[in-house]
Amino acid sequence: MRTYRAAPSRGSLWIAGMALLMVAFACLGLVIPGVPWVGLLTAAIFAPFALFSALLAMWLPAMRYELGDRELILRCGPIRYVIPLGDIQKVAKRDLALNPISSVRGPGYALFRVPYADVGTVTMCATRSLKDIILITTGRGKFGITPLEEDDFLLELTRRLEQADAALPG
Amino acid sequence: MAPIYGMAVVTTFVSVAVWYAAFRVMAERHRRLAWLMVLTLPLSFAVNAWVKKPLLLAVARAAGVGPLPGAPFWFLAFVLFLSPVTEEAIKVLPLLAGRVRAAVGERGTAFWAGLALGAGFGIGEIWFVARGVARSPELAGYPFWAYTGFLTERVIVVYAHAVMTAVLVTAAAAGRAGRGYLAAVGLHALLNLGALLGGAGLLDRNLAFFWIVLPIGVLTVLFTRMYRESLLGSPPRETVVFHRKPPPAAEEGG
Repeated sequence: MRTYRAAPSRGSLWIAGMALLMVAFACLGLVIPGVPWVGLLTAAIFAPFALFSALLAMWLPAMRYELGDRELILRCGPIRYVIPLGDIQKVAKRDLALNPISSVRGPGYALFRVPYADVGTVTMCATRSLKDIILITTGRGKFGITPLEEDDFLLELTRRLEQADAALPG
Repeated sequence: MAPIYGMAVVTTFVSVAVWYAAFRVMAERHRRLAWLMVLTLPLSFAVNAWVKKPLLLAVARAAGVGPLPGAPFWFLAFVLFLSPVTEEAIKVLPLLAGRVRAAVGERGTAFWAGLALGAGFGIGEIWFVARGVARSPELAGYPFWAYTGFLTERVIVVYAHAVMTAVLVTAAAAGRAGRGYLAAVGLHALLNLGALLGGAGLLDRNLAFFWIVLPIGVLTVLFTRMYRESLLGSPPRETVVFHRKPPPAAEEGG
C-alpha cells in the first residue's frame, strides 16, 4: 500500500473563514435585540454549519490517497471512498467546468458529490475544484482527486491497473 | 450625501466582484467580453428618464388613472410590461454596433456577451434606484447599514438582468431573435409581477417579497442550461492516462 498526500491548498483557510463567519452570524442571532426565538433560530441554523466547516478545515490538510494492489482509497478525515482497481474504466487529467449550483466546493477544496457542468456529478476528494483534476471513471461513477506527486501517482496507478488487467484470465 | 449612496457603492463593488469572478472562473475563452458591461452602464438612466417615465405619465394622464391601488386591470398590465418591453430592447442596443456584433458570433460567445450586457445594465440600475431612494422623503432618512435589503435585492436583480439578456442574445445568435425577445420580456414580467401585485394591493406584501424565488429559480435553470450549451463549442483539454478496453462481447448462440 502506498500513500500519496493531496496537493497543498489554501482550502482550509477559506473553510475556516466561513466557519468564523457562521459563528459571527450565530452570535449575532443571540445578541441582537428583538424577538428571542428569531435569534435562537438563527443561532440554531448557523451553529451546525460552523461546526461542520471547522471540522472540514481540520481534515482537509490530512487528505490522502492510499493505493493498494486491489483498490484505491480516498481519505479526508472520517470520509473514505474505496475504488476497486477492477472497477476503473478510465483515468484522465482535465479541467472541469463549474456548475453554479453549489455544493461543498470552493477555492482550494472540493468534497463529496459535486455537480459539474460538463461531466455531471463527480465524487470529489480534492484540494482543487476545477483545474488539473485527475478524473477516475468507474462503473459506479466518477471520482476527482489531486495528488501532490501527480506523475509518480499516475505511473504507479497505471502500472497496477495494467498488472490487474494482465492477471485476468483469457 | 444621502446614506443610500454608501450602500450603492458597496452593492456595485459586490456585483462587479461577483461578475468578475464568474467571467474569470467560468468563461476562460470569453473573459474579454466582460468589458461589454461598460456599454450598458448608462442605459438604465436613459430608458427610465427618457422612455419609461414620459410614457407612463402620458398614458396615466390620458386615461385619468391615479396611483396603483385601484387602477384598472389594463393599466396594471401596461405597467407590468412597460419595463420588460423597453429594458429588454435597450440592453441589446450595443449589438447594433458592427464591432460589438462581430464579437458575438457563435452561441457560446453570445451567452457570455448577453450576460455582460445585462449585468452592466443592472449595475447601472443600482445607481438609478439609489437616486430614487435618496429623493424619497419616506426612504432617505435611514442610516447606511439599514439598506442591506437594497444590497441583496439589487445583487439578485443584476443577476436576473444578466440571464434575461443572455436568453435574448443566445436566441438571436441562433437566428431566433424575435422568440428570444419575447422570452426575455416574459421572464422580466414574471420577475416584476410580485412587486406590482403587492404595490397594487392585490397580493399580501410579505408574499410579494417571496415571489422573487419563483422567477429566480426559473432563471437559474435557464442559466445552467445555456451555460452547458456554451461549453459544447469548446471541447475540454484532456490527457487520458489509462483507458480500459471494453471486455469482448459474449459469444452468441451459447
